[in-house]
Amino acid sequence: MMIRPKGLFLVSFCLLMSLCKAQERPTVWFDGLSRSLFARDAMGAASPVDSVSERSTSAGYNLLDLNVHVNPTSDMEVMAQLRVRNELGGFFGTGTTVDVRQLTLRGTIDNKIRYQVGDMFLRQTRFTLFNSASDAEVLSAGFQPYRDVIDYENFYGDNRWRLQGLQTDFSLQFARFIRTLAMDAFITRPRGSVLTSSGTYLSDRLLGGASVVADITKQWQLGLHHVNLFEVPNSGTLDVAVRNPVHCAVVHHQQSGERWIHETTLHAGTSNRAWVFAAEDQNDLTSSGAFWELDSRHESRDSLWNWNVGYRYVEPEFRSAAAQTRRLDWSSAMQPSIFATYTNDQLARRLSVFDLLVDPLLYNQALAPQLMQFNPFLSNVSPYSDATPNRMGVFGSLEWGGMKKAVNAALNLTALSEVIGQGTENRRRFGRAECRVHWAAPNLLNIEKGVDVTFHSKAELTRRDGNELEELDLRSIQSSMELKAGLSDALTILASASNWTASGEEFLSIRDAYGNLFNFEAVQVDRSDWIFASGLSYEWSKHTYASIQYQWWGANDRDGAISDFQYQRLFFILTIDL
Amino acid sequence: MGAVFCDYRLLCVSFSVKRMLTYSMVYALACMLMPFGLAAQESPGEPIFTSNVIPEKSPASSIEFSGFYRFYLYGRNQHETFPNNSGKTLALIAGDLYREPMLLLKLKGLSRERIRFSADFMINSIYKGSSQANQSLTLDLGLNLETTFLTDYGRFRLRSGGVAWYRQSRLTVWGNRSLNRMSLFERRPQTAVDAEAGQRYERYYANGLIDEGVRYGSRAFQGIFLEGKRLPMNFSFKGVIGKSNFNRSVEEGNDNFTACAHLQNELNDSLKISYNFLQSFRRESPVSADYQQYSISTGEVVYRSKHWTAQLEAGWGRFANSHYDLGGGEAVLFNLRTNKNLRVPLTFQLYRISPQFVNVTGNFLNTTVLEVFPNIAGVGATIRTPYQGPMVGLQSPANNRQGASLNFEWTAGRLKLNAGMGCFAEIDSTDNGLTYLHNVNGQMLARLYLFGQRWGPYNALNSNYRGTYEEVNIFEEDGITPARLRKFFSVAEVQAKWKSAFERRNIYVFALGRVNTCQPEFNPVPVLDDRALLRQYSSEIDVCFEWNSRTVLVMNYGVERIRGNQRTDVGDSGDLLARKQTSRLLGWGMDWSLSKRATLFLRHAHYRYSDPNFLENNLSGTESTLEIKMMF
Repeated sequence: MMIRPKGLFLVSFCLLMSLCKAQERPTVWFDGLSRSLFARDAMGAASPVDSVSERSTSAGYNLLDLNVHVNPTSDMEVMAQLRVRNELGGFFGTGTTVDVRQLTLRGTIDNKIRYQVGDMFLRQTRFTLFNSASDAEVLSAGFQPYRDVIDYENFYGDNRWRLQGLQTDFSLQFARFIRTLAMDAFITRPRGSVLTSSGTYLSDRLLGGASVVADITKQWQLGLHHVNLFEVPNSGTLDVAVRNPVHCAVVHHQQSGERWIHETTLHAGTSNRAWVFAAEDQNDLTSSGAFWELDSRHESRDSLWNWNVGYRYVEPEFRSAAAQTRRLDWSSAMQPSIFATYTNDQLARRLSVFDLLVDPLLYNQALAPQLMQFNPFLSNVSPYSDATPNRMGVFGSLEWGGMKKAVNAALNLTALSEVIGQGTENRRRFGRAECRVHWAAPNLLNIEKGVDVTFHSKAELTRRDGNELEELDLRSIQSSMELKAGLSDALTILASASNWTASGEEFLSIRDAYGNLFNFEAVQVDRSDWIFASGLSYEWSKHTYASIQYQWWGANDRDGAISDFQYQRLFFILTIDL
Repeated sequence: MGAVFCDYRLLCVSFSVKRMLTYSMVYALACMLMPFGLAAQESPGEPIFTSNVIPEKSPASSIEFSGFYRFYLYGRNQHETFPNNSGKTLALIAGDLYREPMLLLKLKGLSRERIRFSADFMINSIYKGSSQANQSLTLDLGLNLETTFLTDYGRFRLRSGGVAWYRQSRLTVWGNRSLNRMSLFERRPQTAVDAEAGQRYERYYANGLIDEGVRYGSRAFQGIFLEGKRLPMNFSFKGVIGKSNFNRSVEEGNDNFTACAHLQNELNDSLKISYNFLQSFRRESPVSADYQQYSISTGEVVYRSKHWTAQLEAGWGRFANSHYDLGGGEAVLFNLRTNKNLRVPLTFQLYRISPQFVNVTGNFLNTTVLEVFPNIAGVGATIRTPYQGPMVGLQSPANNRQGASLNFEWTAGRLKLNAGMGCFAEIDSTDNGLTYLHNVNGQMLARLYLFGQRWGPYNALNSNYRGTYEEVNIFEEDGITPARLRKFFSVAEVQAKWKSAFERRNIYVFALGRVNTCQPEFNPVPVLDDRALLRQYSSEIDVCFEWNSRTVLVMNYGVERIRGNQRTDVGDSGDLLARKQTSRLLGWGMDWSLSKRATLFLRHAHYRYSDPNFLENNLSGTESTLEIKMMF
């Protein structure tokens, strides 16, 4: 059917008017989140003799995050998130706080250029600006409510960092040769100038970035990304400031066949990190590095098979603060919020995996120019995710979703080695195998709504040959299994078991204030953390659910040098997406 | 030449091709670089790169606000003070002396999954000028989440948060809900505003019930609440696990919890049977082994006939702490109430609550275990009720006590009379003293020292929320040795309500008289001579004159006399005589409806509290309040 220009104009106008009509809404509207959480912790029966530590605690809170959206015009919005929190046990005003959690203005100019000021959540590439999942979050069967809390409280949505500043983007559409050209730029302040306890002012730390991404054809995409974390020396009283520009080019090719979709992506880039000293007689500390990664992904049209293979090379001096900052910073003094001490000797209890899975206060939201410390017990192969420096090797995965989608099985394999040895000419070799199987059995055990079984396991191996001082061998295996039986469309009974085990030895890197490696600390790991949980869950939607669980958790030190511990928890959560 | 020609032609062709190529390239470049559109990145097709989040416009929750604004100006001018007064005799205060909202903003919302959420913001300002820090925004009570499930097996309601108001049975969880014999002169913050000023007095005259808000008759809890109704075989249940403000310790977050449950079966339209359970546990400190706990199980039967309702609750309770085990004890509470439409409606109560039956969330006072009260300074002392042998009114049971009371109502024309009498006896002898609640000037004394324990010139006064009780020691005949005895209590109360009209303007008169005595021997009626250890007489009269539909003038006079015999404390007048207190209150005021939702209340009162035998118990002065309350 041919549409005449006049008719086209009329149709377009009607469509435009209908869109305008559809976008009409009150000037002020609300959404947000509300949560009620209660936890009672108690010492386990098998705990060591202890008459001076906490025997049991109970805590909880109710909170309401009310997002107030104000639309003065249809292309502008001010959003303020007000948090009202009331501690359980705080009656009649005690334990109540009211805070502003987010404040944002966003809009579009002439419906062409989008801008945002205030709080924002940014992400570029895995090597420039990216918030990678923490080591502890990888395996968290049955712990989705906790993970939701951690991600929400720390603004960890969609691998983005929460930043505050100004961002704008727009795109150009072309008639030929290039389909679209997207421009994006931002400038944010991850840390404002603050007065330290020593009486000095830390400088303002800014993060700026820009991206140009061109969709050349439907098959080819080219992107150039730049990000720079830097400090403004004059805003503080320290005599040193950091600059960390990172550049990254991305070439992406996608080809669709009759049975397969092929995607190939090449990342390549450089970084430079410099500590610039104000004193003229002091040389700047500069380190430069580069990286590249080639990844080829293949997905069958029927989604039955999905596999990829790739190679990654990251130089030892590659530094990208916004991509290498960890959610868990083991160089800071992290303490468990419950049962911080145990035994009659009042030993400081080390953080167990349970603490990491449940406590949102342990997590970091601040970008740091130095490499943060990590814990080899949890992850030693890629502690800074794909941007981990001093790594080269191959990786690949294979995923199968068969039996009418009832089974999903995935296997990830990684074989890496150091680019250069640390403290020796011998290089570490790393291996990682991760397996995940999900089986949605529809009529198992005559349960009407079926049973979901999930098994997830990850094994890591780190080895280095050499003499007795150089040689190291660290092995870890993390496994979890979850069973969920649907009693009704929304009500589920669940049980899970998880275990983290690691043994061997490793050398932790000791770095100075400027991130330079100057020493090593030998650590022996031989421990096992475990969690069992069972409970009920009622789910209205993905983000609105109630769950009650009983959890048993603890840690065993195999060589007996550190006392074991064992605790229990009754946990209730009701979370509502408003 | 040919070659030249050819060359020329080739040159021309070549030139043309070059020019065409050049033009083509320029054209192509121009086409390539000339965008046909500049757009914000909201293309419906493939996502175009942006470092930021594409905002999703989700359907919003429905939210509404309600509440009230209450401007409260209070002035007190003390003419006579206690000797330890600092010298400040005049107090001018904006805002209630207690923790009450000036602006209460109740937020109520409904999520997309039809889960209700609510919060009540309390916004106060003390109006003390710019030198004072601004008041922070806080919550009056707390946050509540609530949802309802409709299933084939019944209707279930899940609530989480708090403070939420909860009750299940009189012996387990129940708020004070007495006979509403009181003066209307003093106003409470929760009291609602009526469209016409006289409606409140008319309601009190007609049925004696005053709407005191949702908390009336219930207890404050935080935690998880679950309720099921319309279950198979006429069963229903409700329960809570969480924390109550009666179960607090000095350190917030201690492992204190209270769990209660109520399972009911409605056998037929007339008969209901229930099982009630309560378990309260408190650890004094997370690291200490000190704890206390009590548990209660009761059975309850409610039978309703056409003319009367009988309710019987009986159960067993046990109290223990880390130092001793009080053991178990029984409690029986029987209420018989005839219907209001009878000529003379009656209410009969019979109870026996053993000393071991300890509970602070039920509808009775604890008199045997002092440690059960959370000994928290300030607002935590709100819940510290009279402990030592309290002399209380009718329908206010206590443990270690048994007794009966009878109340009746009678109407003769415009006169409505309700009266009652009761006698009670302690089950075990104790070395406790006595306490009595000040019926007159109790609120005035409480405002002098909020939530103070054992204060005043003789360290005998105790203030809780809008009330004061006084402690009295009892001695043997020698006047020195603390007495250990069983105490017997007798109470008589009478209230007369009369309504008339003058020039078509309503006049209400409410008169209330109470006699409360304690004696060492049983007596079914109050003992009005020195055989009684302590006698308390109080009379209060309220006169309300409805000037017009928007204005009511009110007047109040109250007098209270306390008489102790020589086995109680003696004073410092030199004659070594026992208590002979007199409290008087004379007040007047006005209620003026500013609109259907706003009323102005003015009150002014003269008070006097004195005792010729306890010379330092001598107070007098005036209290004035201006209150503007607007509901929305």
